[in-house]
Amino acid sequence: MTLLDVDNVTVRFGGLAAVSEVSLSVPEGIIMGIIGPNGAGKTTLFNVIAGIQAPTIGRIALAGRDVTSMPPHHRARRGLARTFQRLEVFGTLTVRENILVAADARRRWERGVSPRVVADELLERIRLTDVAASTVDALPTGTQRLVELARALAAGPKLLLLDEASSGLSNFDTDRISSLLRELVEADGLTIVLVEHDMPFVMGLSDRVAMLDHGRLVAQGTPTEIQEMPAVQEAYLGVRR
Amino acid sequence: MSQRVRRTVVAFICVGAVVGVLAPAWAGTPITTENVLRVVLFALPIAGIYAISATGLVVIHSTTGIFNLAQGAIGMMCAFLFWELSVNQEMPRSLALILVLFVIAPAMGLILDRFLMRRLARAPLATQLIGTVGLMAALLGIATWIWDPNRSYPIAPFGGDGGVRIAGVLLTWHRIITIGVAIVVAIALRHLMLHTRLGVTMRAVVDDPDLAAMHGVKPGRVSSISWIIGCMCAALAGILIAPEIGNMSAETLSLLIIDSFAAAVIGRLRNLPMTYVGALMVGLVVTFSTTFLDLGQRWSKLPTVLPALLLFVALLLLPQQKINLGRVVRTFKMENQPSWRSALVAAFVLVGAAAVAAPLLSDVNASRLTSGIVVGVILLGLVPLLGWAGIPFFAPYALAGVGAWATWRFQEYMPGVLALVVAGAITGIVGIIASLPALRLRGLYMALSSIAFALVMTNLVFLQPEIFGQYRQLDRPSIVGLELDSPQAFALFTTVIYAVIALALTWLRTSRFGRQVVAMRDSEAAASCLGISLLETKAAVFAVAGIASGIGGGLLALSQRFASQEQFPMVAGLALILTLAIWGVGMTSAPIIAGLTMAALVIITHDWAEGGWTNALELAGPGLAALALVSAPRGQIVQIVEHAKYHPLATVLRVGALFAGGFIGVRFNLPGAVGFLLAILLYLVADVLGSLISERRRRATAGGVHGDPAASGADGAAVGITDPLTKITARALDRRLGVSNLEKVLR
Repeated sequence: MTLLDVDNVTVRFGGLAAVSEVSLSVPEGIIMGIIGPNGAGKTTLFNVIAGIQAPTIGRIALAGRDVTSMPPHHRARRGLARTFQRLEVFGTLTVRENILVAADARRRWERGVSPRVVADELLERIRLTDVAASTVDALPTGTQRLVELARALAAGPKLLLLDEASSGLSNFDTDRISSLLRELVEADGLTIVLVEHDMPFVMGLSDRVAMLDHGRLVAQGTPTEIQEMPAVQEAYLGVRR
Repeated sequence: MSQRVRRTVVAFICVGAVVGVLAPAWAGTPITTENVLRVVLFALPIAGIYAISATGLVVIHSTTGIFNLAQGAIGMMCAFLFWELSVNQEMPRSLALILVLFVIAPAMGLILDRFLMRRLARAPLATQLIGTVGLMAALLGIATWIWDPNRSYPIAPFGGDGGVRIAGVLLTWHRIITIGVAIVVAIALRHLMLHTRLGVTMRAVVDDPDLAAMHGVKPGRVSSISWIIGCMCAALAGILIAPEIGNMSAETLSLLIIDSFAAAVIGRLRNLPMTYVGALMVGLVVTFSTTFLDLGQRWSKLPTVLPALLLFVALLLLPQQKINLGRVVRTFKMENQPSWRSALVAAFVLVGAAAVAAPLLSDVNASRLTSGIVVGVILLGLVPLLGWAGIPFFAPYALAGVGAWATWRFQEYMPGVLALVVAGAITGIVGIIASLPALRLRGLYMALSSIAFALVMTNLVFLQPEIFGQYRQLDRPSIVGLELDSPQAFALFTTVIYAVIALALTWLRTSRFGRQVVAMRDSEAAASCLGISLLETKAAVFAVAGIASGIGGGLLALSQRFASQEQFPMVAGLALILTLAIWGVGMTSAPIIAGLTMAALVIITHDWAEGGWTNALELAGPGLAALALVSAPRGQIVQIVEHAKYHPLATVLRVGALFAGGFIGVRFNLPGAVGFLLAILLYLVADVLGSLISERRRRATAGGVHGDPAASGADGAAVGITDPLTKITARALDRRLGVSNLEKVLR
């Protein structure tokens, strides 16, 4: 079943089309990687899906329901969670409180959730227990990224959007996150869409990969298919003469 | 709701409101060519003045990022200086004019930029705004100190009494000059911006300050020049408008700035031609209302609040501000959150202290204590707004006034204490209504709309015969047979209410809701993507604020046994905000200290020699002190507490000295002011003693390696250290950075 449906989305800022005519559908239970050079429109597309940026044209559907005109918090209540490329942590709260905020909010649409239990579980799972009581602003960027991930998971999403989840992380952490994300998809039935620059990470992890260039969807397929496509090689390595 | 639909709705509501007021108030003046011409001719010079003033605002804001709320006050100062030189010192007018415009005003701009604004430019927005409000209050205070407000300061119009008659309407030379000057300013600035190297540089800084700096632009120079231009514009506007208002007063002149705010906002704070159009609109609307409308008792103050209303409409018509992504300014942890238990202990100590002290106080002093605590209760409402949610809402008295009215209104139906509770609830609802702009507006625009809200409430709503009219009398309630008639009993009563509300707020802050509010402040984008409704959260914060400030307003009316519009002036509300900010906006302990500070200022004013500088103290004091926020944005309480952690002995000495001074003052029945002076003197002595002792001890223990981490707290924040620097972390940092003394580096 299709969980996320991006239908012919275009976003224009003045004369510049950051995203043009992108259509994408993400079936349930997979990891979808979105790649593309800087300025390809990946983050803008994420913002449109999350509801922070309204599309100029086009529709977004979540689990078959049109959410194009819904504000971000209504989409979150339908099971959408995300992290941010430029971090948006709750900097003056502690790590634990960051997670609690998300778990508390979740009680509005999900019964029987105990925020404390959720928080303790996630702290353990993402290995943030040691820094649980630290103020987030005081932590290094890599750890803040993990806090964002934990916080997004605390909202109990069906669809998780990860914007550059691995940047600023050590190799060790990247591997850990990789296996955690796999586990989330396989054991918990989560669907993940991730925007990435780290090619080994995205190619090793994703079931499907889509590529944006200059706001357009130029390729889509399995990681192996994508790596062989001339359009992809062109965008990343330049035109072969 | 789409943009177009919303705009149409707003437009319809505005038109409806305008027609609703116009129809009954129509003076029957026929709309003839002559009358319309008259309106236009009157509007033009006014618009010119607004435009000059707004131009200064726009130039400063667009190049330095600071919105100068003190623009009007600077103009006021220059107008008074012009009077001083040309009338009082009998200098030739042209010489005085040149001196003020080309020497004093630029010097003011330069000094402000160098010593204040450049440091403010890096501060969080709330600090910037409070800093410029502080400057406004300080200038206002200083002006009332130098130029006794009970005297009149006439400035003759330029060009004498004559003028030109156009279609039967006399246009004085002064007004013609004003229009001319406005045009010259517009052309000169346009030329400067488009055709000079400096202008290109300035525009480059507007577009991208970092990029411009990398290409060799000195941002400092640009900022100085902007402030010089801004202050010159302010001076021009002040001097030109002074002869137009019959009785020049510091406050009227400073508040004329609201009129230019509207013009500047219509120009979206960066477009100069649109700013001129905005100024013309404001001028036309004001003259139209005075010409064609017969404003009776009810609407008599309408023309004075029209610009504020226009500002409000202009703000609502701005395109929806998007949720900001990427935090540019680092958030400060504004509060040290006390544990529930320590808050409870503090509340009991407070009430206990009041119970012991109140019976000992004379009637007068008990009333003064009450007034301080009442102000504290009003300010408690701002703690969730400013402190937790970071919403710059500058209208505490607007909410308090509603509370006072509701207390009066419901006193006839129910016991007084219950009426107070109902008043809180009603003000909470009004708070939700006041939150509506906050759903669309953020930061600066929110602050402006709250100032407009304060002005409309004080000068229009509270004056309505249904609200306060002239004056309402209130009876003090009694609780279960306990009379609150004596000032001492009432002081204790207010203290108990303060303690209860402060405890409730502490509980709320540690609750789910409190966490959610702080999360929203830190990142609106993340909060809304986690399923938190920004709309509901903000409305709830405003409701909480309304309840606390409403009860505070009710207490204010009860303590003075009457309620009237004069108890809730806008400027005094700003002074309250300043005093709160000085101590720290995020803590429930700050409001009562702020309230007592205000009470102390009142006592000094009244007990000290008659008139003179003390008159200025209630405004200038908080104003000047607020400027210190530049170096301690988190407020003094945090500073003191952190200092106390590292220098317990010095703190004990200081506090002991304060109490000793107070005790001697009360024991020997010294006049209040002398008591204060004694306490402050002892405090200073203890301070010097304490720091000498701790300095010696520090040398002995740490071998002189690490200095006073608390004192460098603000500077530590500048290099990214928010938590207090302990010796161990400082040492670790030293090692990593390869420096031998971090503290010296920080200084």
